[in-house]
Amino acid sequence: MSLNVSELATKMLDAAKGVLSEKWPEIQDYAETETKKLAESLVMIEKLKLAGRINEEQAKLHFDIQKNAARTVLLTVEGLGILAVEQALNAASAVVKDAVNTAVGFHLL
Amino acid sequence: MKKSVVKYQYWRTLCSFFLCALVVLSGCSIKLISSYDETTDKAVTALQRTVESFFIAVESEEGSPGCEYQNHKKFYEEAKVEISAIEVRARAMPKNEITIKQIELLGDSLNKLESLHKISCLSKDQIEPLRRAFNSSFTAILKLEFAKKRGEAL
Repeated sequence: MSLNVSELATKMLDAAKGVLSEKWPEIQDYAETETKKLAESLVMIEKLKLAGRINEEQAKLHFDIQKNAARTVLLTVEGLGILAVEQALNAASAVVKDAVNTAVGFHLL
Repeated sequence: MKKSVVKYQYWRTLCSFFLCALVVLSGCSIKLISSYDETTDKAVTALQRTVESFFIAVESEEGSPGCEYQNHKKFYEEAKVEISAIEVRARAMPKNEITIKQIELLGDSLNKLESLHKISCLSKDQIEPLRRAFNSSFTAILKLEFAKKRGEAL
């Protein structure tokens, strides 16, 4: 049995797409939930400032802490995306491994 | 006609190169980000508990002299030591830039929380957004750490 480049490329692409389409909704849900929570917190801080319960300096510190939390969440989204790409590449590479091993008739890879 | 032949050859070369690269790579799994670290997981979880205990204590002390910064100096000192230890460990791991940045941001948030506390006691309505922000940060760090276990649900 010989290896067919275009057939193999299609299979690899399908494997990679499968992983990415499975992972993306989970990442999106997480990002949406967290950004909503952070937006609510920003509203709380604005109310405290408008009510005169905190001064400008305190409001700035509060906003900076919220900004740090938002950046931390976005970094996790970035990391989850990288992990999804990693899994997609490994799924595509597993397709090659199976195809090559089948073609040569023994466990080459 | 000639143009389509060139295009076909280009495409074939590209596919072959991609295939060869993957054949080489398929001997071992590709890792784009650091591995899961149980120590980081436990340390971040413990720090979340410490920060939450602090918020509960300060909330219960609202309006009393106990809420003042001087009475909670130890919390800030200990939390800074914990964050520093987590950061040093994170820096020692390859491909761990995202977690390092997250720990740096957590350290910055702790410094800003300390500045807020130095200005005045933290009221319950100030603690609510602070608690949310710190918990979002802790959850984000842990979520990524758990995902690094690979092959498991996010």
